[in-house]
Amino acid sequence: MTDIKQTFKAFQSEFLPAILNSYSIIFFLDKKILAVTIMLVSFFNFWAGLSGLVAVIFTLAIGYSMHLDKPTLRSGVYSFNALLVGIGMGTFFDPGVVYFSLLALAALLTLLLSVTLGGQLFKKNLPFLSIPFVVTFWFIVLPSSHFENLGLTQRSIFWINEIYAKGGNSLLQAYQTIDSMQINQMLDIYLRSLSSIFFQNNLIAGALVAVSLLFSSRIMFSLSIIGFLSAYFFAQFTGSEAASINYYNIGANYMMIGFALGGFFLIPSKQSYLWAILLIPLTSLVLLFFYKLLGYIQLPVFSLPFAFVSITFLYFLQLRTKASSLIITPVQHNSPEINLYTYTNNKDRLAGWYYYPLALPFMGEWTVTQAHDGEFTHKGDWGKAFDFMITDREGKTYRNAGVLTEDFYCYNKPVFAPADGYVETIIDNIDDNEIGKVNTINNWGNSIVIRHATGFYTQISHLRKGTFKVHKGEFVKKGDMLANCGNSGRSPEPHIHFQVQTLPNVGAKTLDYPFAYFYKQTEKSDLLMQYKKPEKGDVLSPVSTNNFIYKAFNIIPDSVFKLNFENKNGEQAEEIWESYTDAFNYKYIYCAQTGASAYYVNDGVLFYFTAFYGNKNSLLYYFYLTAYKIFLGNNEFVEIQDSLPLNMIGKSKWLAWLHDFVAPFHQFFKIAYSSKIHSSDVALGIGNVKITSNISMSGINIKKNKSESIISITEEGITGFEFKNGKKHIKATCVKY
Amino acid sequence: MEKIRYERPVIFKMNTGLMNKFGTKTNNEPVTHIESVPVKSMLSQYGSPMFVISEKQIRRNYQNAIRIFKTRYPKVQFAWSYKTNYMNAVCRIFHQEGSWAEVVSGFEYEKALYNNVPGNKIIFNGPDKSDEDLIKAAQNNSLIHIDHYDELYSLIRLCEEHKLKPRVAIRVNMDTGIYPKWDRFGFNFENGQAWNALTRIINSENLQLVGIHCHIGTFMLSPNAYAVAARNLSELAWSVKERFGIMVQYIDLGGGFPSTNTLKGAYLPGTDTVPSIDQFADAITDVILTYGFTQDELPMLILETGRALIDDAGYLLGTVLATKRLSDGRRATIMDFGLNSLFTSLWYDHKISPAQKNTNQTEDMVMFGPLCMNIDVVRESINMPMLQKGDQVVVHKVGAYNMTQWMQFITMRPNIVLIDNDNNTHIIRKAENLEYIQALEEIPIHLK
Repeated sequence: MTDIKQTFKAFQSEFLPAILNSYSIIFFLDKKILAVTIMLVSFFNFWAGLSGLVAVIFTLAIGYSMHLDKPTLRSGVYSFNALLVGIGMGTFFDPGVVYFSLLALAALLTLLLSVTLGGQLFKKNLPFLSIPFVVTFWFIVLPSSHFENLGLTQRSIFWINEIYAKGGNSLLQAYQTIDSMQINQMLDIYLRSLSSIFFQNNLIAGALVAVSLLFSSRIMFSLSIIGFLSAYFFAQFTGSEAASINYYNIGANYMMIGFALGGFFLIPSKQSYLWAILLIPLTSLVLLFFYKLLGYIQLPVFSLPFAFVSITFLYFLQLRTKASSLIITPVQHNSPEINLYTYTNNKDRLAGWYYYPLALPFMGEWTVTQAHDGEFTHKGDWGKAFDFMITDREGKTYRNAGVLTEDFYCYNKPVFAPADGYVETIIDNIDDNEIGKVNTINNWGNSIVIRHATGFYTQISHLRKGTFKVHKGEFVKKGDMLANCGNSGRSPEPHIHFQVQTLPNVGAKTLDYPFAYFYKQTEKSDLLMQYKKPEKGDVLSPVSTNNFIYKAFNIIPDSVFKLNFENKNGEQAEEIWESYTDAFNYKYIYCAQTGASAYYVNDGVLFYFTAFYGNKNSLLYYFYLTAYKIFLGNNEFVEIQDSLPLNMIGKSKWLAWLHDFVAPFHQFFKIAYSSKIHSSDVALGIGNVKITSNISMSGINIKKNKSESIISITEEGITGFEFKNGKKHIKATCVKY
Repeated sequence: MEKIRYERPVIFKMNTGLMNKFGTKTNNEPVTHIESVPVKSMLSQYGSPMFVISEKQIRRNYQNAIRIFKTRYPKVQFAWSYKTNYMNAVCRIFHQEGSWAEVVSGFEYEKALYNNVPGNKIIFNGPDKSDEDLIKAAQNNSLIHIDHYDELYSLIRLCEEHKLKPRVAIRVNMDTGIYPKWDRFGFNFENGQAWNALTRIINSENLQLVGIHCHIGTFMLSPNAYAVAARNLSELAWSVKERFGIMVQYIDLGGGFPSTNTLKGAYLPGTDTVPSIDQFADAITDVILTYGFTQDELPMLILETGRALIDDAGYLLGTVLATKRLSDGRRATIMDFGLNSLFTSLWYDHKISPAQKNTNQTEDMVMFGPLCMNIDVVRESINMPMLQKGDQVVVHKVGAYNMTQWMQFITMRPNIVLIDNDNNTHIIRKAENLEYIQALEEIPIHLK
């Protein structure tokens, strides 16, 4: 009994989604409604629909029993070609015993081809699209005359006869009424093209697919129209013969180019839309070529041009050295809207991921007296450097008369390692200059170069002779004391010079590089700067960790949290979260009850969530919204500002839909998140901290507070949190930590 | 036109020294405004004498000190020394800036709580802590700095009786090469008493050792003494770490930084001789940073600086009551403030400026207070213009200790006024009146 139950469960969680995804993935989506619609539409031609479903099930069965990669099988990537082959064969051949055996062989062949091509192309981050389907079909079509002996017959596409045979006159009439409705010619072509992707020529099928496409993704829907229109007008321009316009090509080649490049493999944007349009004439050229070439050996072209152009263009894009537009989707969410919103959101907030974190090399508040490409010495190859001095409230850099090096506030102040690394070079034999004099012979003065990684060095110069605390070759940790600020080299007044370089020698060419985190002084309070380059006159200070808050958010892998809360029915409920680290070293919190997971980062300065997947009614979702980004630094007045991906918060459906249409061009809405310490009485690791956070949505003339939250922290860690919005008020207490 | 004042002619003794065509310049620039509030109007509004405190100057001092230490050391915390000036308004300015509280009695402890300082940010120093004080401090998670064995044993006993787990540190005294040696507070470093006390604490069941404290003296003029103190405390912290595997969370070097007042008997003025806070900071942080602690181990540096942060933010405004000639011919000026309100005139030769423009004529004079007591001398000899009855003066750098050590003796204590950041004035302590003074007195029935 339990066996049956388990099998059923496996079917429900693995096999069924895999079948559905095989349908919806044809439009690059994973929406159930779309899958069901396509399945329904495919059964308009009963044998085609049945063959498709049989081919999919057969392929998946082989895939699962041969232990192919489960997530890939589940996504439908290995089986959608079998679906196309099934529908195709069902459309073109009459069913029979031979037919079904051949169908099974064909499905097996598409699977073999899919896995083979995938093995080669996935490594290069390229898709195989519908190539296995096209090739398999060649294998069937070319020798099909031989199969005739075995009983396989080509089927004439008069399936209206079949409708009559099955449904009688009334069904036929209903069909004919709809199909012959006088509708706009363009709409007619559009709908028939959509249906022809499944080898049909049918307004009802087209309309059903169009509507469910609209429900599933507004961006895909608009791309289907854009692809269609550009093909249509191109045909008007060149003549439909030259553009080889027919329903099938509009649907399976031109619209598909739009789906793939306009919205799926690239982040939807004006550029991706534009390229989707521009590539249609090119696809037409490729199509004509294949049509002629394959015509000689009597092979159908099908969607080969689409696959050819898409794959080549994607590979081409990958080899660019710089990508400021036409971004290749970094993480595929199988939804252009989510891809777009996640990407725009991550672009700024995760910018730091690409940099090696460098800290300011000093303590307390220092002023930038010369920034990148400064007016005094930061020129040419040596332009990307910083000079720092200490200034008082009046902006003076010295006390008394400023004629002695000791008068300068920064003189003899300790200098610290900006990051971990090995000491590459030390110069420690140059005397300090008198104020106003410079040493142009040993212009860098006493300097230290640290190797943080091969090809990544930092240099600090104008240090004081005899104050070095480290030796050449020694490993230094971030924040280790190196030496004291001096006035050696080309330095008329004591200051420190800091630069990043790719070579180990003192005074190598500089590299344009930001500091990871620092405070910038403003009139009100300090601002936290993240991966920014300071500017001249900025008063900066380094960020150090507030151990109390850090400890609370330092979630150790494999720890378990148990939370009590009142659910929406007013009952006491419990949710258990576990923390894990995945194969790529990304950390996440997982809730087995709800299946929700939230990926997070804690880098000692910030705790932030990078992604949330799963059930938006789970407590974890509310914690994700509450602790989206928390500052772990030592300044209690810093307010953190961030924005959430637009798909993360419920909006009114119609507004959201409208917005989806224009989002690739301009995003009108913004979900802003802010958090700050509300109160803290922590001293020496004991006390209470309350962090408040707030989510608000702003858009055209609207600014609405969506929610307010509080997290409570004691020396035990996070003790609970509270989330409040218009409808909900959730109070959760952490009972085990 | 205002009538020109008559000044009696005087005969000057010639001073030797380099001749120049300008003659010798007197240091008697009139001070007519404090933070751009006129002295005259304050005196007419609040009466003479009166204390004035500049909020701006307090904040400037604090921020300056913080900047000096924070550019040298990652974890610095100031704790406001209540006894230096425990006017609630003053304390709250420091707490707003981020200072913790350092108190030395149950009374000061209550004051700190009243000023909304969380219990865990109060440092409880001093030799006088009652059992009740200790229990309360332990319950509030305050930092108890143990001064002597009797206190240590009381605390151990109270912990058992009341189930307490207080956070404690010990006060250490040592020879830092200065005279007089301060050895009456805390446990001695050189003879091993401090180490014994630390061992006793670590081996006790309930006490949590969190820090080590010393306070090597007051108005210290030698940065090197602090370097010695920092080294000794680091050594204790290191030994505790090596021997017991516990890293203390902080090293508290107490207070003692001097203000720029001139001590009595000093040859040169304080402004020229007193080391800057930078020099003290250099001496202290250099030692701790290079002692060998790893970054994570580096203890927090606590400073209980009082005087250096508040002295120059306080002024005393007063009025001349009378002038007279003494029998030896010296001029004497009698002020309406004396030792009773300006207690620090026992220690310093305070700088006193006239509050109005006088002629350039000056004369050495004695400045007396109003008390009918022979000891009531504000300055034994000061060179001032020919002050007359009703003239007003400003006494500088009186922010530390005066408003806590003043006496209600013969006269009553005056108003204290705070000039805020926007130059508005606020009374922060009203002048005393008879009713207030007598409120606690009781007369036995047979005398009524």
